[in-house]
Amino acid sequence: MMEWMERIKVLLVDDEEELSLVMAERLQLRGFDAEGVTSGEQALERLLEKAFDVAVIDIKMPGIGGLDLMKEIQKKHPDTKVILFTGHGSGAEEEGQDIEGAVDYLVKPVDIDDLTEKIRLAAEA
Amino acid sequence: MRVKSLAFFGALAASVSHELNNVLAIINEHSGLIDDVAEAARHGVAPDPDKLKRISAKISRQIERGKDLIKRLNRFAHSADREVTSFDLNSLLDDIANLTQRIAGLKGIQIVFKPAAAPIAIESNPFCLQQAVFVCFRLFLSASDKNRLVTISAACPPARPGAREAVAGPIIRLSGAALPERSSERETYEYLEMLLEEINGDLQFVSSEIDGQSILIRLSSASGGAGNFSHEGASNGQG
Repeated sequence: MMEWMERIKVLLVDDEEELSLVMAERLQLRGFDAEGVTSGEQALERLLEKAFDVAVIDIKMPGIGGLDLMKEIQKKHPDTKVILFTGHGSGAEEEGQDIEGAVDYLVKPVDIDDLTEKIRLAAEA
Repeated sequence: MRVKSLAFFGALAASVSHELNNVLAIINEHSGLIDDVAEAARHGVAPDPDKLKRISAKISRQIERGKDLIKRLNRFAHSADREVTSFDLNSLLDDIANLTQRIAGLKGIQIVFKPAAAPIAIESNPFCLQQAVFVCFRLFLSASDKNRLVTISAACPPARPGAREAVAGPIIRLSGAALPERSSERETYEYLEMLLEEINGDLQFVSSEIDGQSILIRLSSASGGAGNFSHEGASNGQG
C-alpha cells in the first residue's frame, strides 16, 4: 500500500474542505502529487497554474457544479482526466446525471484503494 | 396538496441524506488516515501523538455534526405526527432553516436565522408551517443571485395587560434580495396561500430598500388555528 508510485498529479474538488484535504493527504501518502480545493472556481484557477493528470470532482457543489466543471476542464484542459464522485448512495448513473466524459465515477464514502486504482487507470487512459 | 407535501418531505430528506453521507465520508477518511499512520508505524515511522489527537478531534466534530443533523431530521419527521400540537416557534424555524441550508448552499445562498429573544410557544400545525417557510425559501432561492443572504426571524408582539381585544399572533419574517414575479411562479404562490389557510395565518409581501423583499407570515391568535401562544412555557412537542 505504501510503496512508491509514479507521481501522478491529482486535483480533488469537494466543497467539504475537510474531505478534500484529508483525501489529498492520504493520496500523498500513497505517492501521488495530490491537492484539494473546495470549489469549481478554485479548481479552474489552480488548473491554470498547474497541469493535473486527474481531477476527482464532487458532482454537487455550490457555484460551478461538478458536471459544469468537468465540461470546462474538457474544453480548456483536455489532458486532465475526470473522475466524478457523488454523495448519493444510488450512484450518478441511477440518478440520471449526464456523466458522459468522465473516465469513471465513485460513490462516497470511497474506498481509498478503489480510488487509487481508478486514478491510476485514468492517468494511463 | 398531498403530492406537494411528499415532495417537500422528499426534498429535505434527500438534502439531509447527502449531508450525512458527507459526514460519513469525512469520518471514513480520517479513520483511514489512522490506519495509514499505523501502517507507517509498522514500517518504523514513529506516530505523532499530536497528529493522532487532531484526527480524533476531527472525527469527534463530524460525529457531533451528524448527531445534530439526525436530531433535527427526527424532529422534522415527527412534525407530521399530529395536525395540531404545541411547540416553540424559535426551535421549529431554527430546524427548518438548518435543514434547508444545504439546498440554499448549492445555489450559493446563505440562510441566516435570527431567533426571538425568548421562546415563542404556539399551537399550530408544525408540518404545514415548516412547508410554508420552505416554500418561501424556495421562492427566494429561485429569484436570488448567489452570494446573497436570506434571513428568517420570528417576533411576538408583547401582550398588553388588561387588553380586551385579541392579541396579534407571532410574525415570521423572511427577507431576501428578490422574489419571482407572481406570473412566473403562480402555482407556488397559490400553494403558499393554501398552506397559510391551513394554519390560519396571513401572508404579506413587503418591499424596502434596506431589507429588499420580505414575506411576512402572521400567525393568528385565534384558537384552533395557530393561536394560543405565549413567550413562556414553550415546549417542543415534536420529540
